[in-house]
Amino acid sequence: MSYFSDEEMRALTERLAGMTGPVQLVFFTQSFGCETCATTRRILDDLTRANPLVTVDEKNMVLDTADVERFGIIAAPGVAIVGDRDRGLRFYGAPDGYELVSLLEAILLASSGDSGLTEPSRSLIATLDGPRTLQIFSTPT
Amino acid sequence: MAMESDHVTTAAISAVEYPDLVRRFRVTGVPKTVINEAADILGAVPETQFVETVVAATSGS
Repeated sequence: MSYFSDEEMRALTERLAGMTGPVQLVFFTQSFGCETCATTRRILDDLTRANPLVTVDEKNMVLDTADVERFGIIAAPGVAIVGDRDRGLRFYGAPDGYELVSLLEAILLASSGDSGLTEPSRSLIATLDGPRTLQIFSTPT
Repeated sequence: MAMESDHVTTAAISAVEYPDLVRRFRVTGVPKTVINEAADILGAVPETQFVETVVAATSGS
């Protein structure tokens, strides 16, 4: 059953119409102790209907431990957003409200393969010689 | 930034769903970006400032 209304689906379809490359959403879920996992799956399924370039590959936090480690997933629901390759884009929690906007932006970035950053920013980032793990906290409203 | 460098990973985290992380990183307002569990950026800042802060950050303990 669709999570979004018909009108919302039209908006999602329009938002994702600019995708140029496929994006796989590697979705980490668990059967118990995850109140928003089912909702998140419904939302991700709607995104695949909004654009067939989006696909979902579901993994289980308890059974697929090798994948949990490979993708560095810290909690469920967790999504690895993978375009041409895994560039370390992750999303935790149900993508609702403004958080959906963040997920859509990540999908479009992964699809294009282009950060969209300015040349000065790209040059500065190229000087990095150590890891940077960014955790961005937000709320749905 | 993660799109530009294999050194960078980014995780968008719902402050509503993960109160333990909110407490751990003392998130009192959003958006808040925690860098290597050691530095942070409060609010939405211009791209240049964001990138400079992330690049300048050192590793956490």
